[in-house]
Amino acid sequence: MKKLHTLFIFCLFTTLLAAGQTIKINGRVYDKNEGTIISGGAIFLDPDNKATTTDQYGEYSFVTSPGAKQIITRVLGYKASTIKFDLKNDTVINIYIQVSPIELSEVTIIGDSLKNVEITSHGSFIITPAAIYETPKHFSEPDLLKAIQLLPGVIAGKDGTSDIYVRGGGLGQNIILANGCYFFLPGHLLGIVSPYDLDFLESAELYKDYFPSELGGGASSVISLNFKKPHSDSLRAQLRLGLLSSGLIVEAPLKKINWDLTAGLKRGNYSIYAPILKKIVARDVGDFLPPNKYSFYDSFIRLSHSSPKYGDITYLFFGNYDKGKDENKIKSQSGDTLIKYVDGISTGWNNMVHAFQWDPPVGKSLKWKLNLNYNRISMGRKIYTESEKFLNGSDKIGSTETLLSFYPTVNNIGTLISVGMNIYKFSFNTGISNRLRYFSQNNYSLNSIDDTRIRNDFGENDLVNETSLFMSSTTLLAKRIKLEAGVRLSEIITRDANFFVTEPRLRFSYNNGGIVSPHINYVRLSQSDHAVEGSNAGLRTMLWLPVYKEFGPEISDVFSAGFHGNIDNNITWTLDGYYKRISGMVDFKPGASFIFDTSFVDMLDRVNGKAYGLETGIIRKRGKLTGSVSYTYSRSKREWGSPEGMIWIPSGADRPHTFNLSLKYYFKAQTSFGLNWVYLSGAPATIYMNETSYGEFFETKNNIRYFDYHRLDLSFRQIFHKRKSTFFIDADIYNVYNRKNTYYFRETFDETDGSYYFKNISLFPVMPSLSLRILF
Amino acid sequence: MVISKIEMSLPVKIFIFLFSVTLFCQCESDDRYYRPRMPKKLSTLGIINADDTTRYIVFEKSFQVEYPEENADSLRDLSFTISNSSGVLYSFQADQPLENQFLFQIPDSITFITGEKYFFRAKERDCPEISSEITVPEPPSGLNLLSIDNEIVMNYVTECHEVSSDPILKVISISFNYDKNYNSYYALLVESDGFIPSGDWYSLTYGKSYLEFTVRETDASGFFTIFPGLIKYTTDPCNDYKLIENPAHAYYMEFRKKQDNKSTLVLTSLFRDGISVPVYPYNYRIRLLSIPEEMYMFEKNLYTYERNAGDPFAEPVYLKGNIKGGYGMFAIYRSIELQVDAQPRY
Repeated sequence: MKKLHTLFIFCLFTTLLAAGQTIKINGRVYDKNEGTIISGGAIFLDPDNKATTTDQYGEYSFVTSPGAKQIITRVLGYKASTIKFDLKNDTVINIYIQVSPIELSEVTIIGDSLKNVEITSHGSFIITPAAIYETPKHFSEPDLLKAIQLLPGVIAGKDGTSDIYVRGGGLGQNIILANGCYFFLPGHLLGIVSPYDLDFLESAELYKDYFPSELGGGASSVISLNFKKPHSDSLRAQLRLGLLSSGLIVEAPLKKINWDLTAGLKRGNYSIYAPILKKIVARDVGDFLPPNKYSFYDSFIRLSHSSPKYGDITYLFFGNYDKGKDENKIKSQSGDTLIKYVDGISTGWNNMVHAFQWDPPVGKSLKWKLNLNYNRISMGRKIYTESEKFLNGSDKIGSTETLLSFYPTVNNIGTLISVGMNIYKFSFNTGISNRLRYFSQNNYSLNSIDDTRIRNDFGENDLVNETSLFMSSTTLLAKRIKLEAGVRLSEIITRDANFFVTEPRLRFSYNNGGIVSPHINYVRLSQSDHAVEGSNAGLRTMLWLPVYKEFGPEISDVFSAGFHGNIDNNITWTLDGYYKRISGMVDFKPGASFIFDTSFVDMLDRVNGKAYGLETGIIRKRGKLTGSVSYTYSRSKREWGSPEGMIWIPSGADRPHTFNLSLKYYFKAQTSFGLNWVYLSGAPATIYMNETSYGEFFETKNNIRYFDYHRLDLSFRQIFHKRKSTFFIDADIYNVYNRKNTYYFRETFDETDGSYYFKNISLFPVMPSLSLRILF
Repeated sequence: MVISKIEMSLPVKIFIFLFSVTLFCQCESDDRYYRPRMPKKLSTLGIINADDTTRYIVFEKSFQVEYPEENADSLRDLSFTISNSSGVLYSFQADQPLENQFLFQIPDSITFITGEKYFFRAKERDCPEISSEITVPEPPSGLNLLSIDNEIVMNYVTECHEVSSDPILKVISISFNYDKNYNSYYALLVESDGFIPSGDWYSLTYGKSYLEFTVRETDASGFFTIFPGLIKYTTDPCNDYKLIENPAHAYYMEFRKKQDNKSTLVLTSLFRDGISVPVYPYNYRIRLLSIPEEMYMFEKNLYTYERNAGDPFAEPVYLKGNIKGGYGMFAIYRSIELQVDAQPRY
């Protein structure tokens, strides 16, 4: 009751203080080909009906209010260009326009509005493909999550994978949002490639500090994806040929019906060279590589319409497929008996997202948004053996079969209605969202001898409904003091339990636009889907499960405070400290078994966690040399039930020191050089520490650390123009000095001193790679 | 001396930086990781049947190398006590060094009462003291024979010998009761009396052995694993039917609250196959044990550990017992027995 009372006062307080908000847009206009600034260009801001010109440094700026905006750029000798966007905070938009080498009248914008990572006023990070393309990439693969790994407060997972830990949370506490649809996906090739190809994206925003109340579902972070849209009035395409994957993207403005279409398809190339690769690498490494018959695909379609009559309508499809299979077949003859034996493993997952969003043209002061989406993810793992005996080659005299089949599926239908308004110095947004999810387990083990079969099913199908009401406001309390406040109220209904969660959000910030702008922040985040991490030494395993009566929502309370600022127009910096309490996480029980446990409730334990840390970063956005430096101090602990009682142990995210250096140097506008150097404290891991005659023991999970992780990556990019096409050649070297970063430890017996040691298995040595991207 | 200022271009600076970092990082060798030397801990497996004489405790010290040189006398000044809320029931103090894996038989005279809590403490000179506490569970009830049948196994193929007549599979159907208001845990053992080879196949003596058996049908989740301390005999047909001692296996079962209050199982056990002992069973003694949760969980972890051995993809198994300050498990259980005549025996 006291909490509700406090909440009410809190909401009332924010409403009464309604006073208004102004937002600044600024940036520069560049010639894409030459990289030079363009002065004297005319810039128009709609619907404000404001106009300005770029100064001698190519810069422009507007002061405006939040909402849907568009900037139209007109420069003599260049075709007019239009950029549409939804303005929420102070924003930097750099505009790149390109003169066609053939016809001066044809102008193309290679739509990279930001050339580096941007920090917004509420502490989120905006990443654009342009920010990443010129930095070194693993296998020359433009991967969003690997780019996010370089940001302050983010810790990378296993070497080479796209796993991320944000502020000490779990791997599965980072939720993806696209067109209002929440989902989460594992990676391809056992996590090495994330499905979020930068080629598919216009931009992505990582929320990890302040979360507007319309955002929910992730107990650590939300990554909002903005899929690619057309950047010219003519049909364009992009082809990328890479080592791990190749892809095609098409941008088609359908002028006659006033719709825009973009579509992309990516295919994995691993199966082409996997058999050769496994012959080259050491057996220790080869054992950990995915099966030879491994294929993956990602695809998207974005269809959008914008008109005064119907408003903005967007449909998004995002589909993913991932499957690998290894099978051995043996035939043997013993006397007159023929024995056929098959054993195999198949693993993979598939996913689809259909997301519809409509911003109807209801009025100027109110902004409505409607979302309707469906997504389905299905995981799959099958381990099997089959043996058959035939007498005289034809009469079957016996058979055995074992099968562990693991195919859980999550179906989700989501809806959202929200309305926002802007009054003088005050903006307000409220709405309601609903997510109906059906978890289908399909997990069983089968043991069969001749006609006798023993089948053990585990897990039950579950229906979960989550309804959330949210309200948020942004108020300019004084000239430079801003209060952002909100609350999200969620009710989760399951088969046998109901949960009610209140998520207050609050942020005070002082922003003078100068070197030091302090802020203080409190958010509560909840997550009603459990992601359970396996702690095995090699492969990562991840399970997504609904809330159960025994396992309610995961809740994080995050307190943070810090500073950000602009040292000058080119350099921004940020410094934040945080403390986080996490309750309701789930973990595997010691000895949990998919074969013998009858339900997930039997396999899981509820655990609590805590995390604290410090993160800082400096970003240089403009000039010949751009880049970022970041440092994160991160401690993350989980409860552990020992025979002596509950104790705190390190979690997978407990890597005290992380340092990232990312530099880009432009020799010319079309030639650039990139460098990344990454250092992380060793990852926690579990090994058996003591032995007895009947077994080996470890005291707690994560009882050791792998060796410290560091590597240097270099990249080189050259851009060519030929006729109407632009060629991007990316040459990358991953792990330049061939650091043997640990993927896992393999227990090995040393004959000479009669003791065991752990051999450091490293998957990724120095790896040069090349990719070609063609825009035409 | 004149020091001239050298102008370096940015690429040269970057090269020098990279070269330095490369040199610095190559200094470290990281091929091997050795476990830090951990202090040895005392481990115990204490399994006490409150209803019969199967009462023993095994002590050993943990180690980090393959076999400690001091193996022969590695337990020094070993002492332990078993007590309840009234006081010490039994105490032991070794007056000389003992071999590792020292097995101690607890006297039959000590009475263990259902529902009562018992405390165990042990100490060795070089290890921290260990302790544990356990509550004795309710005894099992309602163990009944539903049916017993013989099935002839056709086309039985063996590796080293030919069977003169087809082996027989004994199919025994049983039921028992449990309390659906609590989580309950059981273990099932099958023992048999009959003729056992003594030296060679042709000299048989009357004796008994725990049996290899399977659970053909069950309504409980469970698993087979070794029951510490009990012996099962088999013969080796590839080595003149030499008698081999193996650890006996038990079937461990778990019943959750609100399940039915009666369980039915169909057990099968093979004989006349040239391997199983007794060669001709006279009877089957089905022994149902009501075990504490701590014992069930420890055995389950042990089973998972053995199953996962050598599999780098498997989740590490935490052999969590109920021993504070050390390793292992201390448990007291209750048991009942059902004797079934093996007719026909041949």
